[in-house]
Amino acid sequence: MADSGGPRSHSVLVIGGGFAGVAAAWAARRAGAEVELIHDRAGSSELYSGLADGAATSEVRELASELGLRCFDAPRPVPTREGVVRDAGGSDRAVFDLQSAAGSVVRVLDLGRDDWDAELLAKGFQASRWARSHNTRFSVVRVDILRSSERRISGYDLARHFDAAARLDELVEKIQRSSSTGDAWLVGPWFGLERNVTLELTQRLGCPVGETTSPPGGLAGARFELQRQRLLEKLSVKTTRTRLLRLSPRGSGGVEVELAETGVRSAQSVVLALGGVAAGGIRLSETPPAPPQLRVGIALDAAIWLGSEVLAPGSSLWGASFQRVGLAALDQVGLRVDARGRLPELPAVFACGDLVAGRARTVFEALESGILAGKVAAES
Amino acid sequence: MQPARQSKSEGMNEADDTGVAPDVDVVVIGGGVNGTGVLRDLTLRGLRVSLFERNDIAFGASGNSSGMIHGGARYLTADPDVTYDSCLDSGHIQQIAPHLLFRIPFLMPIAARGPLSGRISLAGYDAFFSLYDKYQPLKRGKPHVRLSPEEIRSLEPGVVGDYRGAVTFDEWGIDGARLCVANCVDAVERGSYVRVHTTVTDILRREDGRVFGVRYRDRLTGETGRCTAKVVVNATGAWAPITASLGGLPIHSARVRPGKGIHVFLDRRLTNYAIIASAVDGRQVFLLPWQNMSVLGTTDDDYYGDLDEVVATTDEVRYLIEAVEGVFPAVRTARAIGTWGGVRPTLWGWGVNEDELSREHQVVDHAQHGADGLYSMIGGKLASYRLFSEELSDVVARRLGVTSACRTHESPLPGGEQTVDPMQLVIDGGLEAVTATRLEYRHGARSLRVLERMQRDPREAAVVCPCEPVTEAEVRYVVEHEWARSVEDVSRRTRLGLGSCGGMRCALRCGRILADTLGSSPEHGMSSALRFIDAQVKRRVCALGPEQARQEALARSVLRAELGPGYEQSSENGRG
Repeated sequence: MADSGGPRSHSVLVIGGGFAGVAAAWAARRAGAEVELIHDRAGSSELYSGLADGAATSEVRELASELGLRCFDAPRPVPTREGVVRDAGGSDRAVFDLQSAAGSVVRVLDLGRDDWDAELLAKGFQASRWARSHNTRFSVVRVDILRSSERRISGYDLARHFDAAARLDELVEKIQRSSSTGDAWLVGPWFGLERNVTLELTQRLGCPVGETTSPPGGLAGARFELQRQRLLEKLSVKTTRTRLLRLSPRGSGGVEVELAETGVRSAQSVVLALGGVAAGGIRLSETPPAPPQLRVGIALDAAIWLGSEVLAPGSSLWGASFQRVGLAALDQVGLRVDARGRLPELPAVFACGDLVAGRARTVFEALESGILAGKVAAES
Repeated sequence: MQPARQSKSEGMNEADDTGVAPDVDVVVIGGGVNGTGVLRDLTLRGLRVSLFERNDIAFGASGNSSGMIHGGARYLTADPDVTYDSCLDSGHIQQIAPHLLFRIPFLMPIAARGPLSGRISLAGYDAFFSLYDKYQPLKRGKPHVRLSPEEIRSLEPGVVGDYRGAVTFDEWGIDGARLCVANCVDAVERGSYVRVHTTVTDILRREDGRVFGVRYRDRLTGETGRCTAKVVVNATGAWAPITASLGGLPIHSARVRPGKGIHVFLDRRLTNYAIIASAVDGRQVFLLPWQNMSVLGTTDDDYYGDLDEVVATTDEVRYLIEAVEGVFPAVRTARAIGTWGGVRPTLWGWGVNEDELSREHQVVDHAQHGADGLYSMIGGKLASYRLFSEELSDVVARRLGVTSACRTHESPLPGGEQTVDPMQLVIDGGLEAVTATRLEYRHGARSLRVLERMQRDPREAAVVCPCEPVTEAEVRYVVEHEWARSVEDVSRRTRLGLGSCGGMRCALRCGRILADTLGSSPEHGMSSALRFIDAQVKRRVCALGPEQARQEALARSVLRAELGPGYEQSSENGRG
């Protein structure tokens, strides 16, 4: 997309590196823009469970596969780490697609980890409506393979240990020696960050092997982080780890952005993908808002404000109370954008993902809105 | 046990003209600190008692108080005998349950300017607490200290303001729910009975008005039944008038003036001292380091609402935050992780402000209302529960001809029989130090029984709730031995799910363990967990600051991921 005025391409600054931010960077790059991505702490994407709800458009599918996610044509039954079978529209590559094990005996692998009560989980899966209507049985097989220090480390750390070929060989051998004749193996979110270990296990054991969902801060989020890094490198998107402090439109067009430590950047357009209140990144000021002198609060439509110094969620301690508006308001708060993801008050600034008010908080929605915002930002 | 048989044969003809022995000697209604205190006291005197609790043990004021066994300093000038008795009894409670008490040193800054500075000077407070020091040895309290402004700042750097100085004094904290449970456990081990989630639907009376028992309904199973007794004790706190009406008595026969008090709890201990501050209306409020968190308390307002659904409101939370932030500004941005709402059963009075109402207690003999055999316990406070229980038990024992004396001040509560060093649990049981310390706090010597479970089945050593922390063995133990029937009950006994994550990491797993221990279905465990999560959310929304709002949003998305997008509906369905 060569600019008629010179070789310099359109510059887009994406703030936030979750699903929405990566999608915006991907789409803006594909539209020919020069993209820099600014992100700081982990948000809800890095903490996600490994599941995606809803349906994916073809563009979302293309991007999702680059990020290591599968998209299902129709909702598929998947097991969660709370012993529930639920439907999902897509998932991390390793999450068990239970449809492949319908009518068979599923062995739940017990490694003796603290965060995995195999017996009770198997009971929960067994009691699910899906298991009963598909005549599928769940039972536990104990395999001792962990070092004592591995009982309590995070699933993410454990997964890295099984990236090593020797550990994987040992696991396969122990499972084969456990002399259990299952048709499928259901495991926790523990195997393989770099390598697709569950796929390798499926091939070597000759039957389906899959994981449950991950806890917050678990393996699914870690896989997303790794895939993101690979994708951004492939796209040659420059990434900087820092925080956004201030954002202001320039008179001549474009936007000026002040970043912590790294100073001021300017770009022709900016995509905000800071996440919802869960992301932990929605503070534009170093200092918290001063408590009001008045003791009374006022009701507000959206609990996030932009344009003042501070962008912070509403709070029962001052301003609007969640007791009145209900906790469901947490899903509604955010910035209001037009159909193209544009903020009406700030030309050349776009918002996507959980930051947008009143939209479903799902992975597919984040990717879809990110793609739209990135595309429009690159063209405006 | 000898006196039990005596009193039983003796009471047979007196209490029951049909010639059939009553099921028990005494029925106690109410599982708060007074009800469980009476249950234990009468059981120790050899009587057989059955306790019925409509919700859960320590569900009301007992589990939602400031959590202190204080020495009654406020009565020092008006009635020093009350202070003496309070301090003496605080010492008794320490002796019978040493594991449950923890020291809370208070710091009271005296402003250099402002409306209160002139009223009582630093010297005045100094003199006042010198007097209180005389009673402190009764409860192993340390003498007060007068601090300079520089000393305040070095002890508590977060305190701001212009002060002439401060005084310190010593009090003791306690987990009210653990205290109530310990009383029940002891009584049941000695032959009495406890039924939780079982509401009394009628107080049974003969034609001549005499009371001879109760009819009850289990609120979880719907099972109904009848329990006859020679005496019925109404120990239902703020519910007392409602309970009296179940026997056909007018509500003014057991009148209380319910006073709502809320507390806000903040993640972690922000201070070493409890700090006293003044609220906008001049009331004293405090910031209290309590167990592993900080507690702001408390309010005192007339309450007209549903006693089963007492929840703190945003304006009550803001009132406390505003009061304490003047002295300790960090409370404004600290992470609020929950609230308690409780209703005090204050003695009734007309035409006075809530704070001026008496905190005393009284026994009502309903013979004066034609209901011989029914007694109501009105008023009282956590710190005086043992004395109040003793007074009521004396009346009942005299009536039933039991001569054995009260032993609750010397007979140790379960867990208090012997001292266990938490580090021993670390060495012998391989527990982590924090897990061991918290387990020993809650169970005292009984922590060894929980440890035994883990040694029998190492899988039970898994930590279910990492915030507190609580192991699977402890969850199963409180279900099997302490009448926990829901995730919320487990939480009340173990503090599971009350940390900063709000049960996000543990509630559903606790539900699975609960269901498995009770032999019920996984669905039952899940609906119990979801009810707990819902109830906790209601207690937190009024205090959400920005940090906790993010946590709430995360917790919601985690639940949605684990249970499917329709979980909100399924939790509503679980209610049915």
